[in-house]
Amino acid sequence: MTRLLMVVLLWWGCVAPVSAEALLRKDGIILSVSGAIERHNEKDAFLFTYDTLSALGLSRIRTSTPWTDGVPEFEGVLVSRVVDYLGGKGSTMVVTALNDYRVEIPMEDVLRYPVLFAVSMDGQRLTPRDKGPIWIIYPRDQFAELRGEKARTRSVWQLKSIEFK
Amino acid sequence: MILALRRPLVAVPLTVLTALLVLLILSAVRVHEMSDAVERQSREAMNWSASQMEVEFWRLAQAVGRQENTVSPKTLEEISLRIDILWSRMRLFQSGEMGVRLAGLPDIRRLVDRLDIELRTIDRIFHEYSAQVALGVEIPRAELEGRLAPQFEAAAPLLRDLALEANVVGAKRWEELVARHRSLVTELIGLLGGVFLLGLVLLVILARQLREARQREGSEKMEAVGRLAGGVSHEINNVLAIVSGFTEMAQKAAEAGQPVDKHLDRIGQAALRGQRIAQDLLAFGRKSVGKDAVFDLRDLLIQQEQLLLPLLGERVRLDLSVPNDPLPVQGDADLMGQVVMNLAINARDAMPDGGTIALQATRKGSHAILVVKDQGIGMDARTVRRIFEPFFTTKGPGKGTGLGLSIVYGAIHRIGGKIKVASEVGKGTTFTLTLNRAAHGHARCQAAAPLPVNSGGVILVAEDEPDLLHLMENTLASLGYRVLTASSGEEALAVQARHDGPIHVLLSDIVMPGIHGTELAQRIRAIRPETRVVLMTGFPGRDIGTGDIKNEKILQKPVDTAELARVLAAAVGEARRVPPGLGSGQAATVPRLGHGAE
Repeated sequence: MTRLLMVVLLWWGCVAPVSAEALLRKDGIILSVSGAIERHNEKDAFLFTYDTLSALGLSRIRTSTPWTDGVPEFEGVLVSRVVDYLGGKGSTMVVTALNDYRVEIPMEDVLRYPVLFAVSMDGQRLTPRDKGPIWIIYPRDQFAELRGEKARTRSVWQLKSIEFK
Repeated sequence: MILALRRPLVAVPLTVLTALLVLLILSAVRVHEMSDAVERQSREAMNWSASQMEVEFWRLAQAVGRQENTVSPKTLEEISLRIDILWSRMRLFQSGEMGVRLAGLPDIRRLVDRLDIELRTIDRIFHEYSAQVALGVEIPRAELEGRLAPQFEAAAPLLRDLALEANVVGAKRWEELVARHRSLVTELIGLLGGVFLLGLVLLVILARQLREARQREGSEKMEAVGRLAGGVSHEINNVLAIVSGFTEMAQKAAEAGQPVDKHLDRIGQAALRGQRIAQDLLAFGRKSVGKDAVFDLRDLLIQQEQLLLPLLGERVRLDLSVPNDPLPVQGDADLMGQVVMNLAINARDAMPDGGTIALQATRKGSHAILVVKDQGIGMDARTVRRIFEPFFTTKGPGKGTGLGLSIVYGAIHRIGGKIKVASEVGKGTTFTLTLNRAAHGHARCQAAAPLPVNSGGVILVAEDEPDLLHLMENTLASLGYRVLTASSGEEALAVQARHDGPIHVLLSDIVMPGIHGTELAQRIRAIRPETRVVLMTGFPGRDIGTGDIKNEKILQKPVDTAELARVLAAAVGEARRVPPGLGSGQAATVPRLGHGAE
């Protein structure tokens, strides 16, 4: 309630200057990976475009989610494949979304389950307007243990960046 | 009887247990549902999504209100990003779980629809300007802000209402959940109460059934005792009738000067019959005699064959099949002999027209199996069920005591064995006995020793029954012993005090008025350490517990003359081997006599 009040007050009081964050993408870059990785194409980082990411090989998973209707088919690159490709180390990936939502995903998750960096749903490319360009999809219909709160909070949409730790 | 007892004991608890199981499964499902509901509540995302919408709108407004004179491409890019994020958030209200829920919440859906319209307008205006910026047109920031201001102003109260409504919905949902939680808990408590009650009912039922079973068992026991008493009195009356009848006839014959041998013979036979009844009864009531004893079943069967052959007659064949090696079995050889005898005699009686009795002993694991099979008339199921009851007999009056098979049953159970009957009318009967094999092949040797010759010892007999005392005196005298008699323990002490010379054996009844046989034995041995003691009892092992008589030889009444002779000969021999005065100063006062003193 306090936060709501604060937000409303700030809203009416408009508008303090915003620090210019690195929100903006240059040249079709959709994902930036940093941290404990062996492969780089930028200083200390690896940047994926849609094409370089999908070149790693596309996989499909048909599963329901709490945010979609019916049982859509998702297409994308297996997270484990990206980890392999980059030589990702460590036990956790810190993933950040466009709105700066941030959560830790244990490496175990992506090695044990076919977790996807989905780039399309039912044959349609995911747009930034609808949870694209990358949406982390857990195969929750296939594994009952992935229907809980944890996998839910890790199903990050509008994925922006990953840091291996 | 056992089956009839068990059926209700098992059936009722089974039903109750099934009911309990169903209830428990129901409880488990309920618990699962409840935790599911709780988990769902933690996923309650409407409040969160509403406030996130507000935050993102605010961020969009911040991007629009950036401090610059003309709108830069960078600002446009950020505005684009913020709009994308808002659209993604908006979709959450329109699809998936929340979309479904909103279908039932028209107030909130109306708010979302109106926000959707405002966002579309913002989107359209933004695209107009970004197209112009792309063409190189410079747009004053104030103009863009001015164009978007009405939309932000319209969105602000919508967002506030959305947040408030979402909170109300969340609160309602929480209330629902609490109510549901409460009803589930109540239900669970009810179920647990039910389970508890059913358990209680089960216990009560079980307790009652156990009590009833015990009562039934008790009444069955009483019935058995009644039947036993009836049977015994009937048998004894028969014997007494014969004895008194022939005694009378003998008296008349004697008065008339006629020979009485025949009558006396009949009386003697009746007495033997009485003795047999008494033996049967003793065997019936005998405690766990010979449980630790071991005998060779193979030997026993071979011996029994010799005993049985004359009894079976010409038309009945005995087909004995035993293993080549000894077959040591736990149990009492005498009792087992009686068992085999009983079964064989029954088999013979079942085959009035002759046939074959198969007597077969085999090893089977840790057991020995003894099969007694006849080709006789067989029995119907009803008879089979009753054959082990005491005094139940199918034989004609005077032919059997009805105790035979009940003794067999008791004997086999006492030594931890089992007995099974299979019978078919017209085809014959098979008794299958399962006995425990002994771990060690140590079998008791029961070879008959030759009757000992007159060994001329001195024997002090103590017996309170005058007739028996008299009989004993005659018997022992006829065996060549010198006999001292006493009709009580006290008298026995007096007699031994008067007697100059050794007393080799004290032969005493255990139960006597005054000084008991056991006490007498102790006293005599204190005075005459070399004297051996042989005790007699008419009871099966009950009164032997008093005093230190473990080393004494105990004879069971009625005493078999041959056995008495053997035991006394051994005891006298032993007494003679003991040097007088061993371990006792008093012994020196006893005058020593030579071995040929009589």
